[in-house]
Amino acid sequence: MPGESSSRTGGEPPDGRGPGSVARPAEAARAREGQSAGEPPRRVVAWGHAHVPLQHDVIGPGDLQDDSSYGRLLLRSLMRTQLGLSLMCLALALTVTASYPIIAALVPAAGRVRILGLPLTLVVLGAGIYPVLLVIGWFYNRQASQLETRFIDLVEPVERGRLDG
Amino acid sequence: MVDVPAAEAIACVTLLTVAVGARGVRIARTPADFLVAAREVPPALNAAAISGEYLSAASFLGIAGLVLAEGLGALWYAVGYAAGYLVLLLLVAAPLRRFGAYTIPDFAGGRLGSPVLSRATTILVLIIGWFYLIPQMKGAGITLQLVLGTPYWVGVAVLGLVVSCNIAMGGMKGVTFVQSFQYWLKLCAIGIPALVLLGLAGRGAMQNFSPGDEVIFTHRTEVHIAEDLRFSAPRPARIFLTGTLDGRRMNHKDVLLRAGLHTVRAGADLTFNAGVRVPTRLSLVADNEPSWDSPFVAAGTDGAHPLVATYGLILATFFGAIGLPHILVRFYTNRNGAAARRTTLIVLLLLSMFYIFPAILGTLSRLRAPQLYLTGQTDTVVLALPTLLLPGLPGELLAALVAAGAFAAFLSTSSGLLVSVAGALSHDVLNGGVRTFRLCALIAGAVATAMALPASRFALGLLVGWAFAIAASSFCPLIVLGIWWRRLTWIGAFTGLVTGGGACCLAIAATMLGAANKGWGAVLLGQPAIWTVPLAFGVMIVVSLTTPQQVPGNVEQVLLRMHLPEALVRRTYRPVGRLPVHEPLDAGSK
Repeated sequence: MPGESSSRTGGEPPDGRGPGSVARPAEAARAREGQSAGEPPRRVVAWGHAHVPLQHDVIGPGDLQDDSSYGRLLLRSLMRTQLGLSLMCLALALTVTASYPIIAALVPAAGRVRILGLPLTLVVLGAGIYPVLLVIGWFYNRQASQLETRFIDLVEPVERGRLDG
Repeated sequence: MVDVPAAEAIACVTLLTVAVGARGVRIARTPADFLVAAREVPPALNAAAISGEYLSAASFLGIAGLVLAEGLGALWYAVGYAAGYLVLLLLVAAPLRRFGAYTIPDFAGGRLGSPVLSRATTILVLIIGWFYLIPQMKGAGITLQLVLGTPYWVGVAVLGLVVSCNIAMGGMKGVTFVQSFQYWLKLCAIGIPALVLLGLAGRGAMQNFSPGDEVIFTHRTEVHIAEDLRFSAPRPARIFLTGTLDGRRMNHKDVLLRAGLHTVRAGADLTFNAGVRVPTRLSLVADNEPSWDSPFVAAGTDGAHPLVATYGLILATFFGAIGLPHILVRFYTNRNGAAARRTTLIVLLLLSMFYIFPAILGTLSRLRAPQLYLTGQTDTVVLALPTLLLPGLPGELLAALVAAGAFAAFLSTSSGLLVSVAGALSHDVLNGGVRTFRLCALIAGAVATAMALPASRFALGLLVGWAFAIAASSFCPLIVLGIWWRRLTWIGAFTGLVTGGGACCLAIAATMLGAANKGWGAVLLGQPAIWTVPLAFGVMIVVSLTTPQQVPGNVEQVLLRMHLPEALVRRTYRPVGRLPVHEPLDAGSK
């Protein structure tokens, strides 16, 4: 899967926060849990490394912007959930539509079925398939917007807090 | 035969388009204005504009014609054209808007930063754009041929002239409003006749649904032969003839039409009694074609390996919409990524509403107007049907409505395509401003007109399907992998584009030249997407994996820009708002 690639492309992160980044994968995992459960994000201190600046230990747009392994993880998790949703809907749409020719090829009797005197092919390809596509599209749209809202909720309050502080 | 109401309707649509386009000149000032009208277009209006631009000659005339000639399997074209927008919604709509590229070369350059790749994409934009323009021009040619009786080239030249001058004057600014209006015009122009004729048809004609290709005249029918043609009669039948048949001239004579091949001269009138099998124009329906009511595609392959051909077409149309050069520009006029998704969903709804009607008209023509098999002018079935089924003024008025809609289809799609082609020429090849753009619009229009002249023998739907196949096996992998895959490199993308797109173009060229017309050769060349799409994806992935050192250094930033919701972008980046896309991506970060 393209989105699941894990290669690192740039050099080392230029921020020199080496020790701090050790604790971050776990943190990001927790962040993702919070994201999926809809909990408000928490400020998390990377314990044991006093020299790590506190502001880098809360999730925020700064993390996204920096070329840090942490920001990268955050973006990767967003992309992965979005791609997963897209591929699921795509698989569904392809299964529904592309199964019809193969069914008609395997069961020739299916092609001779009449619905109110109309050939089945006309009913399916002429009108019946469109509501299915629309429902899949509507479902995807709703889910994708929800994913984004959750992601914004995850990042935004921290930013607000930092501005207030 | 001059159909006066239809001619007036065509003139009205054309004048209206030119008038609104001319109004746009005053507003359009910068190259950005010319390429994409201001950016902020609300989803409903934008969706109508996208649909208006998308519904081309192939949708308006081609699908019904293919349904008549090839069978209900041709409805896969309609399903695929609509489903292409679902795939677009699922895979690329929001990220593409957030990335903010006007054109595919911009996308390729901004994502992978290679001038070589940009140049290759520009060439492909020109190929796909011109290929897609050909059927629009052909549609105009045959429409004017039917309505005014002018030669084929007149319609082609008129459309080429109107569209290129209009684009050269106003660019996209005027076009956005015209496009959305044209969607509704097209919907009415095909929906009202379809419903009226459906109401008139009744259930008496259902016997033409009977198995196989045996079509009969359901009532006594007089057929006027407009051009010399050869046809085959399935059974002997008594007909009433005025004109020259098989070299013998008759005047109001009862003759026995023997089974087998016949030649009839232009100007003849043949009258068939009810219940007679319909003779078929030679080479219109292939011998080994799947039965008319089966869900398999026969277009372009002469009925060879129908299941493979069907999946080839599904691949081409489902994934082709992503790679069409004139669609990407439209996405840029959405406010943000979420609006782009909403717009796409509305487009899917609008297209679904539209595509029901070509299915109705194609089926009705088989049931009630089977003489079209004899004359073989299946591409004009939508235009011819109202006057065939409803004689007198009501039929003429319906025909005028259909003609107006058809012209709206040619005008809107070819405007959008011409903007893309001229944009690619002026923006990417010549690096020029508004003046160059105008010049390029005129040149591109002239080239398309010249290319359309020899293309009259290919079905509209088939030509557009091929344009989709090229897009699906070149730009679709580039855009999809570019959005979702970090490890894509410019070398991989370039190799994939050249292999996939090149193979697809060669296959289509071979089919057009008649290289193979039966067996696997016919299906693999006639519906090439079945192997060229996987080939393009495969080559792009494999070559990218073998050139990991070429992964651009700013890939994380670029992906962030494509996938981050706009609410956060304002904090992290300067809004990408009206920046030209060539500006380095990292210039915006704090």
